[in-house]
Amino acid sequence: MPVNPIYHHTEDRLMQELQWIKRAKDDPRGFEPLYNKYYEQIFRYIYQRMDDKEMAHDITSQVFLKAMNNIQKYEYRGVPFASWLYRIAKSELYQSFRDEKATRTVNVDTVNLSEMIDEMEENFSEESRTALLNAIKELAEDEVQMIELRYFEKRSFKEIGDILEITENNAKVKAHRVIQKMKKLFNEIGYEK
Amino acid sequence: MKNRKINLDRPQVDSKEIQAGMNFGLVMTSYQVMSKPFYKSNWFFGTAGLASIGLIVGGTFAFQDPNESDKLLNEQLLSDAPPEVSTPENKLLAINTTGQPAELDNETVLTIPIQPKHDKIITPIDQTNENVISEEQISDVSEEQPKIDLLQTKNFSSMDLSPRINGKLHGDITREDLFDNKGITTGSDVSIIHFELHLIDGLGGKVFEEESNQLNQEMRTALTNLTKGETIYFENIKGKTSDGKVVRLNPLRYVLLN
Repeated sequence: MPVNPIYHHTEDRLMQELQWIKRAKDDPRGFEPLYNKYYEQIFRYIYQRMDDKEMAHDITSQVFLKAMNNIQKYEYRGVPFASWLYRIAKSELYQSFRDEKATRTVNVDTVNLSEMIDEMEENFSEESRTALLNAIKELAEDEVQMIELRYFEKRSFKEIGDILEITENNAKVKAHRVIQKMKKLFNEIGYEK
Repeated sequence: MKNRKINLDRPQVDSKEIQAGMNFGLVMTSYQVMSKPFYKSNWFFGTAGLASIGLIVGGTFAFQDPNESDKLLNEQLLSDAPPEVSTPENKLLAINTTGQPAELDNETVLTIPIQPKHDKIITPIDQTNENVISEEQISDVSEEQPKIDLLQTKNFSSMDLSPRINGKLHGDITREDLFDNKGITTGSDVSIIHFELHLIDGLGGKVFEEESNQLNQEMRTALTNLTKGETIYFENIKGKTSDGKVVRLNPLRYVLLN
């Protein structure tokens, strides 16, 4: 699975990013390069989980505002700045769901579904696709998150670990368990609905 | 959160459309509105705190009783006094400023009055003269004889030993006062038997001696030649008490007024 090149930086890019962060800590206007670089990523992450484009823009702006307000607390831990922004985005997103400003939405591509069905060692058909969608509805929220990050957004386990604040290995284990659960659901209730 | 909606094959958003929604200026404006006002910042609390402490400390010193320091100084002087002076067991001198004999644990000790302006200090001038009291003699007497005897014979506290000319102890003086016929006198029965007149002019110092309390002619001539504002010194003034003892008195210093 190809990795996200925007997230996975070279050492030089990380250092340049650190310079921007340092400048942003001294002067909030120094945050602009970080805003320009990550706005689209964060917007896509948010819009992937909801249906309202305008609301997605609002929440994205809210994420950057929060990041600017808390930039002094940011500590570099060898991972891209994006992981910190993703964590803020996740928090803001779920807050909007709790406040009922937005509806939780899972956006699925047929291409991605077929890849999942392959991984589950099943044959792709209209029935299997429906069964898989039914199985997704039955998953817990953290399991849906894992499916979205890994199979719909094609993120590496490293990136998933950074966003969910778990280790890379833990992300692998969790992803495997979710697939096993989906397999089980797929066979038990998938075809029934 | 299972009331989730599932969208299948929703059209992707174009990058240009996303970038069209970017507005860093708006975020910046919101940031400035949300940022903490100065009175909530650590700088404010730090500055205000330091200023408050400064005011408290400054106020404490400013409103302190000015006599407090004098009292402290007096206490310190008393505490700094050598033990042989104030301890009655040593049977030595106790000093107070009133000139009255000090009572320490029902034991009377010799008291020598101390005047703040040092104008009543008795200084022996001739160690060989039997009539002059030396410190050693006083110490010997105080050690050998009962102190009450010495006190009864030497009542220094009633004496005003400050020399003066026409009632003036120091400061500005007119020629008329200076040439007053009474000469140098004291407020007690001590009569002046010797003094020196020291004059300083452009050629150096000049000293005149006289074995009485009156200015002699040479002195009068020298004083007449002085100009206004010059300083006149009377040094080495010796007096004789009614019982014949010679004492050295404080020097005098005047500035010629006319």
